[in-house]
Amino acid sequence: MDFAQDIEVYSLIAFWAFITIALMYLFSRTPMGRMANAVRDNDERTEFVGYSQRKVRFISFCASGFFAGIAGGLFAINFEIVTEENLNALTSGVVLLMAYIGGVGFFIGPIVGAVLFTLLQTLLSIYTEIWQLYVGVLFVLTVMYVPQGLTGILAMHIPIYQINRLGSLVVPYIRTGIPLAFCLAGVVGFLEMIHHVRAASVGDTEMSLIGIGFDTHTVMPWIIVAVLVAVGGYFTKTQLPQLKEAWERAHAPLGSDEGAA
Amino acid sequence: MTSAIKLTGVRKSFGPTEIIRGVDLDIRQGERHAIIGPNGAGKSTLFHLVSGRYNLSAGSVELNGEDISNLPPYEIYRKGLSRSFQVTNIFPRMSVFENVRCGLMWSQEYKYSFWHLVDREKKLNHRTAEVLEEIGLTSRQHVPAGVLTYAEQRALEIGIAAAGGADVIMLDEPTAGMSHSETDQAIALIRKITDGKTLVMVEHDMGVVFDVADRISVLVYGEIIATDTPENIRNNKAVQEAYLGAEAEHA
Ligand SMILES: Nc1ncnc2c1ncn2[C@@H]1O[C@H](COP(=O)(O)OP(=O)(O)O)[C@@H](O)[C@H]1O
Ligand SMILES: [Mg+2]
Repeated sequence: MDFAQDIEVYSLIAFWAFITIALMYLFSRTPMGRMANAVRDNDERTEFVGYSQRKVRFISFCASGFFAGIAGGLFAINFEIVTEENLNALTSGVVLLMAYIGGVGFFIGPIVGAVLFTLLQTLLSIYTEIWQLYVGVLFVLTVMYVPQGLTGILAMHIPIYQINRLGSLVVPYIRTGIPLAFCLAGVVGFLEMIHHVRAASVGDTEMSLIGIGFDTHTVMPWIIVAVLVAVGGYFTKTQLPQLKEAWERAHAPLGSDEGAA
Repeated sequence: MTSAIKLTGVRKSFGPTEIIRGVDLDIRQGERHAIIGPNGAGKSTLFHLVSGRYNLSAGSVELNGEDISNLPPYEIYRKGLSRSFQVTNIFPRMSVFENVRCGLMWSQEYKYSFWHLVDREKKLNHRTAEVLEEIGLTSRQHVPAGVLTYAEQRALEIGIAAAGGADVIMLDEPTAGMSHSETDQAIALIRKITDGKTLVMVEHDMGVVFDVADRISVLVYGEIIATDTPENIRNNKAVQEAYLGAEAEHA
């Protein structure tokens, strides 16, 4: 396929993507869309305000099939091939994973999740063979600690932004972020080394991380990552109380906090 | 005049236990009817049977002269019967405004439409705002219903039930767990919102019952032992023994 054709395909897909996103948003603002929300929230009660939850679910299912159908058509145009692989449980699972990482409770959540997932897939896979592990861990952590997803984390900052207090969180975030970054770097280094030791061919003990070459069969690299994890983890922990306090202060009702703080 | 609700020989069993044991009840159009009885007598079960949440084991239920036995709840609602729940049953993650609007949508003929955008439907939103005003939740309309106080949730529960303008409204213990002043407010709200309609309510507060009800039915152990005016119920020996007496001893 030549370049001009690529651009055409891209324009076609982008056009339909925007149209369908707009349609989905509008759908969520119709009586039907609102009742779909109501059924999700409390399916039993919808029956006592006149709506059959089964019919609401049925129509929602048809609508999602409609949009999935468009997506499938565009996929086929883009890749010019559709196989069992595009329909199997793994692919369906990946879509769910994107939605959860992004945040299922928000309209843009799945979009954010899909963009992030694709970025991770294309960028991370250049640097590491175990990118799927990182995405998997991200998914598990999201489900365990932020069920609202990444969009949810962003959304939590909106009220703080609205009362102009976002600035008060910058320093606490940096203070927690630096040791956390060291800790994560240690964890990543550890995982990469383990993977290298297990996956590399016999006798190949040389590996490089961020441009530094070393021998995985010597002790020093292992000590370095262990220290990174331990020290980074320790300092992250010491910084958590001030972060929590800053967070609570940012949420305190207007006018009541300044004196107390 | 046809009755608003007419129960004939209604029975309900869960497995081997019969909870409702042959209930005949005639609720007149436009009356305020209270159902009282000890805990576990089957009052909520009776509500569930009339409103379609449970199927009948035997007997029949009529609404305005039409047989509604074993219809699903949404069909019964569309025929003009709306109810609230003893255990608050709202849409916790949707805003208070949206909760009320959900209670209105069917009656405003939107059905399953995906041709209208709810935010642009002036009449729908105007009516929603009116109901919010009536139940006193205008200032709370944007918060998720799940974060309302208990009393506010109870008001919303009534609001959702009454929003659609059904002509028969059933309220299951609307004031349970409320303080005195909250109860007074709730009763004023119930009077206002059910004006000119048929009201059936389960209520434990005897002050409220004798104040609000035109007639009272006493349900004891799955059977109605008396249906009468408040005065006659108060003086009814059987009722005193079975219920009011026990209540007085209790107090
Ligand atoms: N779904 C059910 N399955 C089994 N038993 C039930 C069910 N619902 C209610 N009961 C029983 O029926 C009896 C009456 O309950 P209920 O109607 O809630 O009483 P009331 O509202 O008068 O306090 C209780 O003994 C209760 O345990
Ligand atoms: Mg009950």
